[in-house]
Amino acid sequence: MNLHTACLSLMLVLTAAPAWSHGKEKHDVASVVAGRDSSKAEQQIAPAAADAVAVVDRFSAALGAGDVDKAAAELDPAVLILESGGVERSRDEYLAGHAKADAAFLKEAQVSLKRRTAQASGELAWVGSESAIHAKKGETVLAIDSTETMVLRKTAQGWKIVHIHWSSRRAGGDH
Amino acid sequence: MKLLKTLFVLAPLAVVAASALVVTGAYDVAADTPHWPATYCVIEFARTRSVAARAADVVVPDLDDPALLRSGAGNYAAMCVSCHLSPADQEETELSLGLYPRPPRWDALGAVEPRIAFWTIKHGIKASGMPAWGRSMDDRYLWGMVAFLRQLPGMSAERYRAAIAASPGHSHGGGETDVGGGDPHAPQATSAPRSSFEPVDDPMSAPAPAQEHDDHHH
Repeated sequence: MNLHTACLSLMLVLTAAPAWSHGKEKHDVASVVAGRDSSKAEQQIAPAAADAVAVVDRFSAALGAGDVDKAAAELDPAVLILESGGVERSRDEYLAGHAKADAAFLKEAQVSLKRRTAQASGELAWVGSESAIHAKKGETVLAIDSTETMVLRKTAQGWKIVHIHWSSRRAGGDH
Repeated sequence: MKLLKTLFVLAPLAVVAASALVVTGAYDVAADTPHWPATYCVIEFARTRSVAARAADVVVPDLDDPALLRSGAGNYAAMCVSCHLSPADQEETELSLGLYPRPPRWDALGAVEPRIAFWTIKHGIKASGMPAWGRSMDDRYLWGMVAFLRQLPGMSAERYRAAIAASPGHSHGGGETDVGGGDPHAPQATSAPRSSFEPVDDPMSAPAPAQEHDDHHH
């Protein structure tokens, strides 16, 4: 075996183990870093929907920071929120219901936006988002595939969220 | 003929006597006053025959299914412990002491034939304190409880606690209310609601397909 072949073989051996193990890492509690990341998301945002998407981001960021009042400011008073068969039929009902639990959950969760699409037509816009969420649950990590649809209406005060639909399931495979 | 005549006389007298017993309030309905042994015998016999006749055609699923067992454990802890106790809750409760007839203890429940257990959990028993859980639960969750009941005889307190901890708690697809059970997950239900982003933990739901993630955030 000549030197060239030997070096190549050594490189292959040294890279084989991490290469095969990549994709099978398990999240441990310490690896969950709270926050939002959309840097690797595939996004298709129509120009007319850009401002609406900014509202969605502000809402999510405020909720994730635990600022429920700031998040509520982005909601229409008559917002309809659906999740896992449950329904909250107004901003006030959401604030009295899931809002605090959502803020508490997101504050500790690592949310990675995977895909987003947004369109607008006249006074209506819709934003569909797919995210991977990792949250600590005791000594383990809860891995969630989360989907979100938001519908916004343009008002005199700017874009307001009039409808949210959240749907989540435990992520399949190892995370 | 003489017998018939006697019956013709005695039967109305019996009806009058029974009516008097009821109308005057002489019949004691107190739960802390046991039936006469003969009355109890008749009621028990009627219950056994009634349930057996109605449960005969019940089809029993695989009661070793881990999803059923997980589901059943959580719902047993939330809905059954107050009356039937558990390997980890052996002290009598106010309900287990006050109900009449006395609810069978947890270690006797596993000996009940699955069809009978399923029918009883689903439809309840009149005037006994045993609710018709089928009014708020689908059959698959009822079978979860039957599956778990079969594991109870001989179960240690440690094994019971582990089963409950591994369960999703009081969860049967909706309609759950506080029934005063010993569900360790109940404090979560009464304090803060589940967030909108957490999936409903239902061992009965189909698992999400395994996905290859080609982008990682580590």
